[in-house]
Amino acid sequence: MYFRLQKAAREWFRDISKDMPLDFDIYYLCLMTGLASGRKAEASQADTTDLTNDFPGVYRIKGRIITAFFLSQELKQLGISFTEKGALHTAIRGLVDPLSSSHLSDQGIKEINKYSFGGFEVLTEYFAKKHLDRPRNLETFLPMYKELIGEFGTTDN
Amino acid sequence: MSTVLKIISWKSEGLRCPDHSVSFLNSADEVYPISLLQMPNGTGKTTTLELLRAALSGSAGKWDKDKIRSFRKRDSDDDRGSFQVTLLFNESRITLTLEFNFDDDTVAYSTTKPGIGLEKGFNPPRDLKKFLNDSFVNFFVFDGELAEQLLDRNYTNAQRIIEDLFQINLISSISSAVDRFWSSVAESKSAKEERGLSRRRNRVDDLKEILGKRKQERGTLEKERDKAAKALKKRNEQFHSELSQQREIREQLLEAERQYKDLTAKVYLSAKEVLDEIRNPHSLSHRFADEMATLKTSLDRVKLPESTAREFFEELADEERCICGRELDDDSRKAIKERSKNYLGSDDVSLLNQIKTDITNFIGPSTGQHEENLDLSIEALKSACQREMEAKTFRDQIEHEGVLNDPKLEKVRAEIDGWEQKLAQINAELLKYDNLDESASDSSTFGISILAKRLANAEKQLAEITQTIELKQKRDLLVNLLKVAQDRALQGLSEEIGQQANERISALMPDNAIRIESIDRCLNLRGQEGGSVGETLSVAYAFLATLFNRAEHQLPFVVDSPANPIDLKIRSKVAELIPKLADQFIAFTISSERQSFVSGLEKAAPGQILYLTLFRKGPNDLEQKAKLFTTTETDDGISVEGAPFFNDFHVDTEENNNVL
Repeated sequence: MYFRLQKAAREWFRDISKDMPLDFDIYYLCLMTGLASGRKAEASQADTTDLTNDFPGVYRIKGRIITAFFLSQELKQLGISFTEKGALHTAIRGLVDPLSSSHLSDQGIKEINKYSFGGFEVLTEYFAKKHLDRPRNLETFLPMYKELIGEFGTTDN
Repeated sequence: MSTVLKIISWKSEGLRCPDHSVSFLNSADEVYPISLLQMPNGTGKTTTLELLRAALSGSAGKWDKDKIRSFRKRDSDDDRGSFQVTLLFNESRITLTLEFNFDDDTVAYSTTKPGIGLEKGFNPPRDLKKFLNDSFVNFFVFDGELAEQLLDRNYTNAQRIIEDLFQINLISSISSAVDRFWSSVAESKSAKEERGLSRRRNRVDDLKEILGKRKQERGTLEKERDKAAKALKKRNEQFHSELSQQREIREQLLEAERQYKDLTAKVYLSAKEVLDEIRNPHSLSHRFADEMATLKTSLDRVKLPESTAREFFEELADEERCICGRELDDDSRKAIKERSKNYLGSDDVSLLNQIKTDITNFIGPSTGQHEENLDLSIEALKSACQREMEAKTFRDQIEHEGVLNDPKLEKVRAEIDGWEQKLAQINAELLKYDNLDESASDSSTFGISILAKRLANAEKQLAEITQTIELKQKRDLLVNLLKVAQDRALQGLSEEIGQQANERISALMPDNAIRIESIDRCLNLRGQEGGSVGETLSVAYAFLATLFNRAEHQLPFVVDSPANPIDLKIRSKVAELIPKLADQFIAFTISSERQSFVSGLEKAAPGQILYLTLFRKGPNDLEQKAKLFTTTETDDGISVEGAPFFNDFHVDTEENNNVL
C-alpha cells in the first residue's frame, strides 16, 4: 500500500514545491493539518497518485514518530480509552504492521491517507477564508501554516 | 564514433568589425592548444563572436533584415560581406561561410567538405550536426551570460549538455525503434473483430497525434519562455546599466542591491530551517508533543507491549508440558493458542518498543521546548522577510529617483513590465500541460502525463484484439528498461559530474563554500540560489572542465573574457584549469584581465600559446609600434602576433574607440 497524494494538492502547492525537494513534504503538511484538525476525507483513486510506500529522505528517521502521532489521533477518533489494554491492543494491531516499510498496515495506510486528504481540505478552506487562492512562496506560507496548526492546538478537536 | 573538432582559422571581410583573418595553426601546421585574442571591449569583439556562433550553428538563417543590416560595415558602399570559419573535423577540413548581401539584406550559407566540395547551405557532416546547432554551440563558444544560465532554472541547458555530450538520447531513439516495430506488427495482424480493431487502432493513432501535438505546443511555449526570459534579462541589464551611469546614485544603488540580495539569501536559508523544524510533528505544536508523550505513558501503564510475545505461547502450546510442569492436554493447548492472540507478535513488540523509544528520544523531558524553538525560527524568518522587503523598497526608491532623473528609463521600465507580464502569461499557459485532470475528452486534454497514460491503455486494448499482447509486453518491458537506463545514466552522470566539479571548485576557491548540490535543469547550488559573477564563472568552468574531460568528443572551447570578473587570486588557478578544458582553447581577452591570468596560463602550458592582438587602424603611434612586430594589415584593421606586443597593449589604448 502506498501513501497517496491528491493531484489537486500537488497542483495547489506548485509555486512552493520547487523549494520542497520531496513530494512527501506536501503529503506531510496536509497530514499534519488533518491530524491536528481531526478531519478525514475520502479521495478517489483517479484523483490521487501513488507517492511512496515508505518514509522517504529526511522523513526516514521521523517515520516512527509520525506513526506515533497518527496512532494517538486515530485511537482518539476510534474512541479507544488508553486504559483499556485489550481494546488498545486490538486497535494498534489493526493499524501497524512491523514488516511494512511504512510501519503501517493496509488499514493504517488507508486511514492515514484520509487524514492527509482531509488536511488538504482544511488548508484550502483556511486560505479561502483569507481570500488567498494558494501559497505563492515558502517564506510566507510556513508562518501561516504554523498559525493554522496553532488554531487547532487551542481547542480539543 | 568520437569527434575531434578544431577551429583552424576564420576570416571576416566587409562586415562591421575590421577585416581580419586569424589562423590558429603553428609552424608545424598543428593547432595551438591555447590562443589568446586581445580584442578589447567594443563592438568588434561582440560582432566577431556573434558571427562565429552563427557560422558554426546555422542560426543566421533565422535573422531578420534589421539584424542582417546591423552587420554592414559603417560608412561603406560595399554591398557584400563574408565570414568564413575553417574547421578540422577528424582530420578533414570543412569550411562554413556566411555570405552577406546588403543590397537586399540577405545572408546565405555555403559549406565545403571533403568528397563533396562546395555546396549551398549550412550542411556540416552528419556526425557534426549534433554539436553544430543553436543550443550546443553556446556551450563551446561561451560567455558570462551562459555561465549565469547554467545556474538559472529558467534555462534547461545544464542537463541538456550532459544528454548531448554523452548522447544519452540515443537510448530514447532505441525506444522509438522498438515502438515502431511493435506498431508495424500490430498493424499487419488480422483482427477477429474488424470494427473493434479499426476503432482501437484509430484511438491509438489519435492519442499519438494529440500527445505529439501537446508536446510540440509545450516545446514551443518553452522556447518562447526562454526568449522572454532572455529579453527580460537584457532589458533589466539595460535598465541597471543606464541607471548606474548616474554617478550620484550609482554607489548607493549598488549597495542597496547588494543588501537586498544578501537578505533574499537569508530569507531563503531561514525558510529552509523553518521547514526542517516543521518536519518534526512535535515541533509543530506542544499539544502534538503532549499527545505522543501521553500515548507512551499510557502504553507503559497498561504494559504494552508485554514482555512476552505471542510466539512464546504458540510454542508452549506445542510442548508436552507447561512451564509449571503440568502436563498439557488438547483443551489446554487450544486455550493457550486461543489466548496467545491477545499478545503481540515479537515484531509488533519490537516496533512498539522502538516507537516508545523514539517518543522519548525525539521529544525529551520538555514537550513545549520544540514548539518554542520553532516559534523563534519563525520570528527570525518573519524578521528576515521584513528586512528583505525594506531593502527592496529602499532599492526601488533609488531606482525611482534614477527614473525621475532620466525619463528615457521610463520606456525601458515599461518594456520590463511588458516582458514580465508576458513571462507570467507563458508560465501560466505552460501549467496546463502538467494538469492531472482526467475528466476532459482526449482532444480537450492538455495534461501530457494523462494523455500518455491513456495512450498506454489504448495500446494495451489494441494489443488484446490484435493478439500481440506478448509482443507488447516485451515492448513495454524493453521500453521501461531503456527509460530506467536513460534516467539512471543521466542521474549517475549528473551526480558524478557534480561531485568532480565540486572537487575542482574546491581547488579553485579553497576559501569559498560555494558548491553544486545537484544537476537537473540547471546547476543547483548548495544553500544558495546564485553567486557573484566570478563565482558563477568559476562554477561554470569547473562544470564544463569536468564534462569536456570525460566525454569522448573533443571540441574547441572559445570564451569571451575568461578571467575578467574573477578575483586576482583565483585567476591563476583558473588559468591552470584551462589547458585541461579542451585540446583547443581560444579566448577573447582584454588587457585588464592579463594580470595573474596570462602568467598562470604560461606556467600551465609553456610554449603552447598563440598571442594575437587585433585593433582598428587609426592611432598613428600604435600603428608605428605594431610595425616593429609581425603584423597583418587589412584596409581597416591590424593584427599583431606575439607575446611582446600583446603584453604591452594597455587599457588606456582600449578605452578609445579605435579598437575592433
